Amino acid sequence: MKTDVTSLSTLMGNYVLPFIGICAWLILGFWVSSFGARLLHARLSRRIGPDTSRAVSNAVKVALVALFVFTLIFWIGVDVKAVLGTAGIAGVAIGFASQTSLSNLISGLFLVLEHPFRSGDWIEVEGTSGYVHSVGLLSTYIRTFDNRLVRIPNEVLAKSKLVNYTQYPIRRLDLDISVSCKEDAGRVMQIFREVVASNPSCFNEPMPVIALKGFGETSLDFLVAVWADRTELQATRSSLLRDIKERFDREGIELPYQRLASVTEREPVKNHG
Amino acid sequence: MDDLWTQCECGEGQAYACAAAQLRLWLARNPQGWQVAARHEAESRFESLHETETVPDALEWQRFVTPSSSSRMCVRPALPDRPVMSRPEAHIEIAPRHKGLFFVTIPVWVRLELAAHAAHRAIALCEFPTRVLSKTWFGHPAEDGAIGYALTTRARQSLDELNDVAGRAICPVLVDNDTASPLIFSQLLLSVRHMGLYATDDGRLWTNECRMKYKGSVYPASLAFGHAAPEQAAGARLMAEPREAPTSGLTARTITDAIFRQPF
Repeated sequence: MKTDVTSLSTLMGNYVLPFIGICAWLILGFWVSSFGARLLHARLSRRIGPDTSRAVSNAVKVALVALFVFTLIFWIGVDVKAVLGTAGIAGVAIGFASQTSLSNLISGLFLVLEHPFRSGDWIEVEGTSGYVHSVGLLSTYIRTFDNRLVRIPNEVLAKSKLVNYTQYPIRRLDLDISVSCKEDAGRVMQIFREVVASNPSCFNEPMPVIALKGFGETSLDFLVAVWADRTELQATRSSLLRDIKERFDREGIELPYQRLASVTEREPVKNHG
Repeated sequence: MDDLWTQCECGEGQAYACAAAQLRLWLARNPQGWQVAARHEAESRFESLHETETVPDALEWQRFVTPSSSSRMCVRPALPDRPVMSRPEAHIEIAPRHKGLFFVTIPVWVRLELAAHAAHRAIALCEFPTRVLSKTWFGHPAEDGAIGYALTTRARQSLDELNDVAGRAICPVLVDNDTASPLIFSQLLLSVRHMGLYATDDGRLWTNECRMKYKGSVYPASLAFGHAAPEQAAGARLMAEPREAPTSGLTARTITDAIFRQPF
């Protein structure tokens, strides 16, 4: 009986209590790391932006977790040299196995530092266009206009040509408009000027550009380039095209149509007489 | 004109209309609240709020749910919700250490507001511009700037030169060139959000005076607003508070290029 109690207390002292202590330490470590990261994100978000702040707080969280784990290793008396040696070998193996992830991670850090876009921006990369949903250390999520979530690895973002459509508050809207080649180019340009001037969404400044670009097969090709608020770009395009069409109809300006000319050749009538 | 900015006790189920410059407004009160419709026409006309039997068919109505006891509608003037850009008649050159006074007329907006009642405070319903102004950008397209409205009227140096002030507020702008070189500019950006509106007995609307001090292209310009009606409209009564109270930080933040546009 006495032996049982002794062995039980030995079991408790040697295994159970240290195990509970280790678990408690790890739980505390994860909780402190998460809480610290959240607190840091809340504090930094306004100063350096939500994306950078999220990346920094995630990095701090990983560092804190590592700190707790290493403290635990010291505490339970594991040979640190052996652990570091093993970690080094494992690191090389993991490094080879996770080259892509590391590349994404480093690209993510560069994206965070470079700031080519922010959450909510409208970007286009490798044919995918949409609003930036979130920027992570490994990947960036884009919400497309038809409401799909696309994950783009940060490495792709760092390597590819990236267009940010929302960098500036105003954008130029370029409309290529053709009219029938029989129309008077000067009159058509004057109509464009009047239509643009009467559309309140088209900015007075910077000045609109109205130019004859060239001659098509059956058309005169014009460029109508106006500046507008980027948040109203599609509405401005639609209203301007509608105004131009209505004005063309009133003024009798003809749009170019493909014309098919049918030529019939008759055999000359032979005179056998 | 003065009658336009008035109050009207409105009955349930009855339609009302008013006109201010190019704006046409229709209102109707129902047991749950109000319905408002607006559109702009080319012709300018002024009519105070009145009962009407004819309401056009193709109107887009906005609905407002308000306390059923709110039956008194106020039609109030307001200044535009964005800065306005004014061009003087020609490029202006102000001599060193000299001041120039300009008068700019700004088309007002109509604000519909339910009058304060014993049970509740005044309730603002909606606002509409009395004239449709084109938007414009003030600044470099790739740098800091502001989206504003382009005024169609020119800044004048004499009150007598102002014509067509109906439905517009007169804004006195004092430009002070506090440098040793001439100040040449072709456009002025007026931050109307920081201005109040006043009405004189003759029905004219005024803003408080705007004072701009130019200290050189590399220094922030100083921008200050009078706290009362301008001296040209002494005794005018307050019609609308500024949308945004001017703060001391405004002066420090105001970049010279954001107020004066050089003609080249």
